This record gives sequence, structure tokens and C-alpha cells, in this order.
Amino acid sequence: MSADDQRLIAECLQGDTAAFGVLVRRYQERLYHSVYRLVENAEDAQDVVQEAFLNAYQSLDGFKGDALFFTWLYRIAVNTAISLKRKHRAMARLETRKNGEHTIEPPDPSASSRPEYALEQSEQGTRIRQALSRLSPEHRAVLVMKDMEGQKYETMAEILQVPIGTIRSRLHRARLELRELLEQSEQEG
Amino acid sequence: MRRPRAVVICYPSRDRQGAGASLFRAKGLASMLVDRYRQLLTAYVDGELSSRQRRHVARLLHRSPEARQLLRQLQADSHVLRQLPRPPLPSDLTSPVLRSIAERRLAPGQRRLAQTAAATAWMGPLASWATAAAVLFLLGVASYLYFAASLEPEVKTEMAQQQPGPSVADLHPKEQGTTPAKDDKTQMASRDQPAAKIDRPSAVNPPKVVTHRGDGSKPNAPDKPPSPPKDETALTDRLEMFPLKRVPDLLPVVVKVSDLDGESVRQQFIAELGKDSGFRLELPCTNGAKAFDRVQKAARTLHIGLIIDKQAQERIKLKWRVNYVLYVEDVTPEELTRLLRQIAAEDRKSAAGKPAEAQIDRLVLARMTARHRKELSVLLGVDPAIPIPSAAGPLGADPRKSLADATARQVGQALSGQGVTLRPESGKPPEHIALVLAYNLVRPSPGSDEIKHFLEGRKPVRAGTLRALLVLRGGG
Repeated sequence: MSADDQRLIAECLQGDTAAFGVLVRRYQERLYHSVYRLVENAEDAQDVVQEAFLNAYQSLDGFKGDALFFTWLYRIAVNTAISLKRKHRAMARLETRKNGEHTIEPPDPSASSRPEYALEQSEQGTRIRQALSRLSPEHRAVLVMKDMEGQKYETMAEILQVPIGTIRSRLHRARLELRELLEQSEQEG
Repeated sequence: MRRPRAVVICYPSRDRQGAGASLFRAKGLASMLVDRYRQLLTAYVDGELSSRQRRHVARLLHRSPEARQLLRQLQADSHVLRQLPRPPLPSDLTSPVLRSIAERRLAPGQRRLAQTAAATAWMGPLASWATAAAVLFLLGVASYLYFAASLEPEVKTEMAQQQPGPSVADLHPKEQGTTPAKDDKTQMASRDQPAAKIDRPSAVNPPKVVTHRGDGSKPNAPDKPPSPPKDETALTDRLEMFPLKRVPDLLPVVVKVSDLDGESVRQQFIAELGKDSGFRLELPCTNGAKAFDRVQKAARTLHIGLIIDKQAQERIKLKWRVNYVLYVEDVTPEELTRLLRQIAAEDRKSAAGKPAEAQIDRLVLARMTARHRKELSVLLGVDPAIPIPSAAGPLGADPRKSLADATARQVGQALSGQGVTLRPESGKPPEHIALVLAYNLVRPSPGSDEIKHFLEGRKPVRAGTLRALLVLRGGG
């Protein structure tokens, strides 16, 4: 952990909320990117990040400084995001049963959630986003952490608080499942 | 010529992947490779392989076009994921976060305290219930002790007077001013009544501890004749206890079967068999099929017919090392002892020169308890303790059934090889009929033709005879 983070945390613990503001400003963007890919919704992502910061603030005295502050923060955010996705999936299943039709999680219609990027607009980008959204929250989390965040197995295991072997097998299954979904999508398209 | 070392292509049937990967089995390139290789490839994409594993992957890729193609696809997927745009944060979250902290009055460490409170929240109601239960319990104990201590002997006497049965005057004539002569008569009279056997504490003298003795004598009443030991109530200083009763000695007896040849052991054994009307004998052996062979030979020698259940027949035919059970009724202790001795003799004959072939050594004799009778009921389908209805006519035929039915059944059994009744070699009718079953309480065969045949042929038991369940415990 950087000395600056350590100093800011110490100030927070002494009651200086402004110091926590500095930490929020420092990590919010990075946190938002990861969370956005996990929840695939801009508003949900903002809510998750905000809630993660508030939870972190309340648990700050429990942070021992063994890991990076961002890793600790990221763990809180990922767990919050996974919980949110589980709730959404349960609701989607209920709706599917009610209507009797198979539904895929609809893309977020809000403009803010659809950044105007070329790849995003491309067929390949859309396809992989849809496939990603159909993965389980756990599989999606490891793929996002590995491919988008470039985390190592060890860090991922620390964040998700599971053994490294679990990370390896989850990633393995996640990659193959994603591949299968993409193949299905290509055949349908 | 050098042969390729690794087989790369595999069929889905060899795939040992878990249930979570069922998606990949149906079709697609991924399903064409064994899971071990796919794991190597995905870990290769992750960049988390050791140099040795990387060399292995290189060899794999060199040999397998499917592996090369799958790796290309996985790498492309990973590349597309990495290239997905990073959406910009719509708005700075610093202010909302700090505002929430202020509005909710959050503080560092608050969450941990809240978690602790949540974790211990369930203890509140539990503690209340525990306290309430403890108070009630203490109140109950205190009330009991208070009333037990404050209850005067006079009150107890009044309570005794209100109870039906002999009066207190009958029980304590001296206290009522009766003369000694009348006293004795009253005492004798009261002893004749069943309820008078219950001793109660005196209304005047403090109650004494009465110790129950096996001979029924009382230490403080040497002049009085000893009261009968049964149904005696034991009294402590304050509390009246349940009456003591004699229970029959149900401990099993272990006997070495060959020792029954000795006169003294045999007589002891016969005396033991005379103590009850039903016994269960457990005969441990190393091979149930071989032990049954000895039983068969002994039965033939002693003119005992065996009705062997079909299930048991199959097992005997296949020489299965399972447990068998032989059930016999209306045998005297001497006859049963003779059968056991004969079984031991047949065993010695069969194992002559081959000690390892010996099957019979010791037996455990136990009186037939309710549990044993239940076990027997499971095996037979009926409780054999129920008296046999005297439906048979004077010639032994059941008038309720037609002769044609009985004949047809017997012919059918003979043709099908069922209901084997081993006739003694002499050709004489068997003196006793025993039923042989596979000892299988899990899958019994109650109601089989053989069991029906045995039950239909039962006769009312003679006095002094017993029923015996002999278990050949020779399962592998």
C-alpha cells in the first residue's frame, strides 16, 4: 500500500472525511470500469461503486494494510456487484417463467450506459457483450478481472477470497462457456 | 520410427469435465479436446503457465490443429474483451459519497459494530426465553421442595384415608388404641388384602427408611412374619418410590456345542431350555452354506423334515455364504439338544482331517424376547406365538379347503422343485418339520409357498415343548 493511501486512511480514522474524498476521487474511475462490466448498467454501476465506498468507509478500521487499498476496495465492490447480479438473475428467471418465453437480459437503454465507441457499435463487440451478460456473476467477474483488469490469479483469489485453484477452474469454465455462447450466436446470426 | 507421444484428439465420451461444462459437450471445437488440454489452453491465454507447461502446450499446438484453432479463438475472445471500451464515469462520485456519509452520520468502524450487533441480535430473544425458562424451573423446584417439606405426617395420613383400599386403622392398629390381641388379627387380616402390602409411614412416629431385601425380611420388625417380596414399595425418608419387582434372568448363555456330549453340560443346557417356551440360538460359523449342509445331514439322521424356502434354496444351490435360519416348534429340550449334538457330530465328520472346514464351535442361547418374536414375525409374515386355530378335522385335513386344492398345490410344488421336504433315509414320516429360510430381514419372503405350507402343517404344541429359532450366522 502506498504511503499516501496509508496517510489518508489514518486521517479518515481521525474523523477527516475530506481525506476519504481524496481516496474516492483517486479510485472511483477504475472501480467504475470494472463494476460496469459486471453489472452492464451505468446506473447500477454507479450505485454499486457508491455503496462500496460507503461500506469501505464504515469498515475502514478493519483494513490492516496487508493488501493494496484498491484490492480491498475492489473486493467490496465485486461482492456488492455479484450480489446485485444474483438478485437480478433471480428476478429475470421469475419473469421468464411467468411469460413462458426465454428472455435474455435486455441491454441498458440509457444513453449514458452506451458509450459511443466504434467497437461497442460493431457486431463483434455487441455479441461479446451479450455473451458476457449471459454468464454467471462469478464467471463474469473472473473474466473481467483477468482480461479487463489484468489481475493475476493470486490477486483475484485474494479479492474473491477463494483458493487459486478455484480461480483457475472458474476462468477455464468461463472462457469455454463464453466461447460456446459466441459460437451459438455466430450460428444464429 | 518414432511414434507420436500424445493423443490430442478425443471424443466427448472421454471427457471428464464436470457438470458445469455440459454446454460444451454437444458441439463445438472445445468438446473435441480432452479437458486437461483445454485447461492448459485457457491457462495459456491467462498467461499463468509454468515454462514446462508452456512447452507442453507448444507440443500440443504443433500436433493438433483443433488445439491451434481453439487457442486462436480463446485468444481472440480475450482480445475483444480487453478492447471493450472503458465507459467513462458519468459523474464524479466524491460529493455524493461524502454527502451520504454526512447524512447517514457514518463513521469508520460503524459497520463492524453493526455486524457484531446483527450477529448477536438473535441472542436477545434467546436470552429472554432462557431466563424465563430458568425462573419457571426454579419456581417449580422451590414449590415442590416447600410443599414436600411442609406436608405434615397428619396430612399424609388424611390423604391415605381418602384413598381407596384398607383404612389407616387397618394399617396402624396400635395408634388407634386397639388391643394387642386384636392387633395381630387386624395385621393378619390386613396382610391378606393385596393393597395392605404397601407399607406407609406412621402418623406418629417419623418415617424410617425401609430397605428392600431379597428375602423380604424387615430389620425393624423381627416379630412380624416376612412379607412377600414382590410388589413391595420402597420408602425413603420423604418420597415414595415405585415398587420393586423381580425380573426374569434374560442373559444369554454361551455353550460349546461339542461340550453337550458331556452329561453335566448337557443336563445344565436342558435345564436352561426348560426355563422358557421359546429360544433363539445363534450359531456362528465361517460359511453359512457349509454349516447348513451339516444341519441338513443332522436333520436327516434325526428324522426331521426340512421345508426350505425358495429364496434359501437358491442361495444353498449357489453355495452363498449367507445367513440361514431354521425354525422348529413343538420340540422338547432333549430333542433340541440332540439335534445340536448331531449337528456338531456331522461337522466333525465333514471336517475330519481338515480342521479349517469345521463350522460349528459355540452357540449363544437366549430366551425369545419380544424383539426376537418380532423378528420371527417379519420372517414368517405372521406371529407364530398366536395359537393355531383348530380348523383341521380329525384326520388332519382342513375342512375349509377342498382336497383338490391341496393336492394341486402339492403336485405343483413337487413339479417346480419347491417346498422341499427332506424325508429321512428310513422312509419313515418325519418326527418334526422345520422351516429353513434365508436370514434376510431386509428382504424377507413372508407368504411364500413354503412358509404357507409350514404354517398350515403346524399342530398345537405339546406341554413342555418349545419353539426354537436357530440362526446360522455364516455370512461372508
